[in-house]
Amino acid sequence: PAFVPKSKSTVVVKSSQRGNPLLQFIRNVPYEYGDIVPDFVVGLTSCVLFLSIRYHRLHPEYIFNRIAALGKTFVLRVILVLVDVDTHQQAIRELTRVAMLNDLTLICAWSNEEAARYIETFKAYENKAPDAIKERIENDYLSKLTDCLTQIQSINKTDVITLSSTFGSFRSIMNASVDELGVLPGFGERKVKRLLEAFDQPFAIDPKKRRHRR
Amino acid sequence: MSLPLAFQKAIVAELVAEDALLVLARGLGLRNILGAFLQIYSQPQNLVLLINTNADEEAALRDDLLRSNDVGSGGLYFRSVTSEQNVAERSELYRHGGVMAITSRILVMDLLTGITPIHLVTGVLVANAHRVTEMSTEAFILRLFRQGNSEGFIKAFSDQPETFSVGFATLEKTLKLLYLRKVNLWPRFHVTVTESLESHTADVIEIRQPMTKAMKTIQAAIIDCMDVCLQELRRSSSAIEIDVDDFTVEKALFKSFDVIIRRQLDPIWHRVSLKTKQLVGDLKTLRTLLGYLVSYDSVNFSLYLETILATYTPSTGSYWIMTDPADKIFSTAKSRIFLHQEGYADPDDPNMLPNKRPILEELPKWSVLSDIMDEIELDMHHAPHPEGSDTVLIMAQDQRTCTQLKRYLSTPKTSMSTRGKPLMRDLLHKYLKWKSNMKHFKDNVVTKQKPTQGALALSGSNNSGLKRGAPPNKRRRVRGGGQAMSPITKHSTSSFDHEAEAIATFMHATQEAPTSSAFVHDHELEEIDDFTDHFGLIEPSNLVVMHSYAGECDSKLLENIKPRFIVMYDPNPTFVRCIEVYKASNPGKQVRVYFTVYDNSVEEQLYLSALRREKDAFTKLIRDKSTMVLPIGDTQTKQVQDQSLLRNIHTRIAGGGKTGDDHPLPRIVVDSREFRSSLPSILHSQGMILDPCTITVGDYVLSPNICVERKSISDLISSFASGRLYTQVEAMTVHYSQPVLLIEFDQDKSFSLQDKSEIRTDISVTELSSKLVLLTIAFPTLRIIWSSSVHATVEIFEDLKRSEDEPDAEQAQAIGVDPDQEIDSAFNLTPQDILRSLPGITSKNYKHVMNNVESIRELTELDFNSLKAILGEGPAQMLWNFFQRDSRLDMG
Repeated sequence: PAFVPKSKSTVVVKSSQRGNPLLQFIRNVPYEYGDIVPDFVVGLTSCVLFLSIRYHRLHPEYIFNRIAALGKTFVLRVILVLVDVDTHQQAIRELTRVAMLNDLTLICAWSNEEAARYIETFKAYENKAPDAIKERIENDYLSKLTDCLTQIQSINKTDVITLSSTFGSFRSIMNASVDELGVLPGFGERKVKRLLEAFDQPFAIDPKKRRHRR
Repeated sequence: MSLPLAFQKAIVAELVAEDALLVLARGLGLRNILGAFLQIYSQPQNLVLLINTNADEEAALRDDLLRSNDVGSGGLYFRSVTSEQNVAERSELYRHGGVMAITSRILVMDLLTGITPIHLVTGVLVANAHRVTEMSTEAFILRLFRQGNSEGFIKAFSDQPETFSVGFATLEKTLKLLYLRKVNLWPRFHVTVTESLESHTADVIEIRQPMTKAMKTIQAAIIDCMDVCLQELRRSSSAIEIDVDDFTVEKALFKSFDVIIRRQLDPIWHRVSLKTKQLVGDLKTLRTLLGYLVSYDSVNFSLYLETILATYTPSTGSYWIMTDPADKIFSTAKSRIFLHQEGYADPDDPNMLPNKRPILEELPKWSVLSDIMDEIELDMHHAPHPEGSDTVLIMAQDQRTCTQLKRYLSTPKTSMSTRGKPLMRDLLHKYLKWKSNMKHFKDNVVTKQKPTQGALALSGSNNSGLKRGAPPNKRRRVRGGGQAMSPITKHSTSSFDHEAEAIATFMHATQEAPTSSAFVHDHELEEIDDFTDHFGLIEPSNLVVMHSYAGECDSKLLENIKPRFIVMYDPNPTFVRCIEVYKASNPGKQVRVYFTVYDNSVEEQLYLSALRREKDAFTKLIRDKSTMVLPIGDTQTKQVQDQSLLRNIHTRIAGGGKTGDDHPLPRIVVDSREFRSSLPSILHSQGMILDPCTITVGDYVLSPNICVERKSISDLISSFASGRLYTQVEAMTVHYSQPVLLIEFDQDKSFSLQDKSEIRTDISVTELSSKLVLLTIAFPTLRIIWSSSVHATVEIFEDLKRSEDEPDAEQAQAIGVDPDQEIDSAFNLTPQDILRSLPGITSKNYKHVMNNVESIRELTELDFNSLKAILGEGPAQMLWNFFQRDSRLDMG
C-alpha cells in the first residue's frame, strides 16, 4: 500500500531516519515522516537512498538489502552518499559499481548540510524545467561579446572593452590590422597573434578535404 | 652548423656519447646544440622523432639546418608532422626517414595504432624537457617508445633550471619519465663556459637613469595597492588553511608568485570565494601595471588605467580600485598628461582641449637613448670602422616599444622641441579620440545593459559608499580610513566621466576640422621613410636596426647583423648571454654595449633576481645530482607487465592463473581530443588497449552500452554555464543505454564539491549542486562517477568493463553522426568555441556553419542573404545585428 503524503510539496522521510543529523538542515522545504521503502521520497517518481560511508564500512550488506527492497520502483533513483571518511576511494569505487548495476544515480556529499541541500533541491526542483542548464539564446550585448572574445586564450575582460571602445563593432574589430591592434594598451605581440589566429584559422583542420566534398 | 665555442662542442660531444638530460643556462645557445643533433640525424638511414617543440621553434630549426647545409638536402630529411597530414601521408613520411618533429597528440595516436614503425626508430629528441610531467603526453610517448624499442636513444634538452629545482625531487622524477639516468648541467658559472666567454668581453657602458617624480609616486602607490590586496588575501584566507608566509610584496612582484599562490589555493580552488579569486587576479593586474609604468608612455599608461576603471562595477569590482593609493595612481598618471588650468589655451595646437595645459611627460629613457645615439654618431664620424660595418642594434622588450622608439629617433631634435614632443602630441590626440569613443561606449553598452547598476556608478559622486553600502547618514560617523573612501569614489568613477563628457562634446565640435585627423595620420605614414634620413652624419650603408627580444633567436640575430654598437633599452639576462657568446665567437670584432636601466625600479630588481634565481637553481641541481638515487633497469615497463598479470589472476572470470591469448586485454575507445588529458596515458599504463578515433558522442566508450563524458571540475562548471553539458548528455542518452558523466577531481586537489561554509541559506539555481540536480531530474538514466583522481577513474573503468562486451570502434564512430553533416577531419578548437558563443548559433546549427564557412572572419564577411541561407531568418538576424552593432554609436 503506497503511502500518501499530506501535501504534494513535502519531502517524505522514512520513519526509521528519525534522528538522522542531516534532517536539521532541511529548512527550505517541509518534510513529514511516513512508512515508505526508500529513505526519502523527493517527488512523484523520484526517491533517495541515503548512505554514510562510515556506516557502509561497518555494515556492507545494508545497502544491498535496501536496494533489493526497492526493486524496480521509481524513475529517478538516487543513492546519496555522505563522504565522511578520508579513505573513501575503495568505498566509492564499490558503490559506483553497485549504482551502475542497479540503475541508481550516485550523488556524493561531503557534509550533512550539503546532503540536506541535495534533498531539498530535488524536491524544490521536482517540476522545474531544465532551462537553467540548457543553451541560452538571448543575452545582453557586452556580456555576449565578452563571452565570445574571452574564448581566446589571454584575452580578458579589460581587453574586450579596449577592443570594443576602440573599434566599435565586432566586424570592425575583425578588420583591425596587426599594427592597429599592436598599439592598444595591454596588447602584446602574442595576444595580437592569438586574436588574429582565432579569427583566421579555418574551423576544419584540413580545409582542402572539406572544400573538396562540398 | 658550426659551434664556434669550446664549451658548446664539449656539450655536444658529451651528449652524443651518452644519453642524458641536458640543462643549459639560458642564452648559451641551446638551439644551436639541438640544431647540431638535427644535422647529425637528418639522414634517410635514421628515423629520429623530435617531440615537444612548437611551430616557431621548428621553423627556426629548419632555417638553421638549411643555411648550414651546403648541399641543401638536410631540409628534406627534417619534416614537421601535424594533424594536417592524414594517416597515409604520415606513414609515408615515417618510411622516408630523417628527423621528424611531431605534434605529441598525433604521435601518441600513431604509436597506439601502429602507424609509427616503433622498432625502426633510431631515437627520440625531447625539447623543452622541463615541461615533461607524469601527466603529460610526452611521458606517455616515451613509455610507448621504450616498450616497443629498447635500443633507441633518448636525449632531452632544457634551458629552464628553475623548473627542476622547485618541488620535491623534481629532477629525479623527470629523469625517470624520460627513461634517463644522467643529467648534464651547464650553468653559466661552469669552468669551461667561463673560460670560453671571458676571454673576450665586450665593452659595456651601464647607464642608470632615475625615474621621474611622478613615476616614483606611481610605483610606490602600486606597491601599496599590492600590499592592500595581500592583506585582504591573508584576512579572507584565514578560514581556509593556507600558508600566508608566502604572501609578501617582494614575492608578489615576480611572476612565480602566481605559481606559489595557485599551488596553495589549487587544492581548494573550486570553493575559494569569489573575493579571493578577484584578489589573486588583481595582484596580477597590478604586477602588469608595474611593468607598463616603465615601458608605456605616459598617455598610453593612463589610457590603460582608465580601461581598467571602465571594467569596474561596484558588485564585482576589484578591491584595490577603491583605496587611497589607487586614487594616487589614477591622479598622478593623469597629471603626467595634462593639468587643469582655467582659461588656458594652447598656443601650439588649436585642436587642444580648452582649460587643459598639456604636460606630456616623456619617458626618461628616451632622452638617454637620444644621447646615446648622439654619442654613437660622433664616434662613427671620428673613428669610422675600417670594414665599414657600423650597424647599431637597439633591443627593446616588445614590438610596441620598438615602433615607438623608431618614431622617436626619426624625429629631429630642434631648438623648439624635444624629439618626443610631436610623438606625445599625436598620442594625446589619439587619447582624446579614444576618450570620446569610450564615453559613447559607456553610455550605449555598459549603462544600458544594467540600468540600475550603471546609473549608480555614474552618479556615484553623490553619496559614495557604493561598496560598503552604508546609508549616507551613517557614513559621516565613520572615522579615519573610512572617511577617505568617499572622495576616492568621487574621483575614480565620476570625475573621469565628467571629463569624458567634456572631451566628447569637444571632439564632436572639432570632428569636422580636417587638421586633427590628418595631423595624426600623416606622421604614421612618414614614420618609416623618414627613419634613416635624419642621421645626417651616418653613411647610408650603416644601419640602425631595432628589434625586440626573442630568447634564443637573438644569438642568430647578432650573428646576422654583426653590430658594432648594441643598445639594450630594456634589461634582459638572456640577451646579455647572447652578447657574450657573440663576442666570444667573434673575438676580433669591436663591440660596445650600452645597457640602460631605471635606477631603484622594479625593472632593475626583476633583472637582478632573475640572474640570482637561475644561479640558485643550478646550485641546487648540482647538489641534487650528487645525492640522487636512480633505479637500475627499466622498472616501469616491468611494473606494467606485473600488474596485468595480477589482474588476470584475480579476475574471477579468467579462472585464476590463466594468462595470455584466450583473454585479451580490455579495450576502450577513446576520442582523439582526449589525448590532451592524462587519462589515456594512465589507462594504457594499467594495461588497457586504447582505440583512438574521433567520436561525436562521449569521450570514452567502455562497451556497446556504456559511454562516458569526462569533466574536470572547471569543465563541469563551464559546460553547465554554456549549456553544452545538457546537449552532450542528451546525445549520450539517445544512443547508449548507460550514459555516464564522469566528474573527475584533480589528484592534488581536495575531493569535494563545496565547502560547508559555502552553502547558502536558500536554494539557488546558480549553485553547482542545483544544476547537477536539474541534470539528473532531466535524465534519470544518467549515471555519475565521482572520481577523486585519474588513478581512481582507471580502477572504476576496469570494474565497469568486467561484465561487459568490448566496444567496437567503428560503431562508436558512426554514432551520432548525421550523414549530411559528416565531418571526418579534426577541428581547431578556439574558432569553434568562438562560433558557439555567438548569438544565433546553437548546438544544432554550428556544425552546419562550420561545413559551409571557412573561418570566423569569413562568417563576418558574409552578406545578410548568405547568412540567412545558412542559418534561417531568425538566427541570421541575431547574428547580423551582433556583428553590425557599433558600441560607440547610439542604436536607439
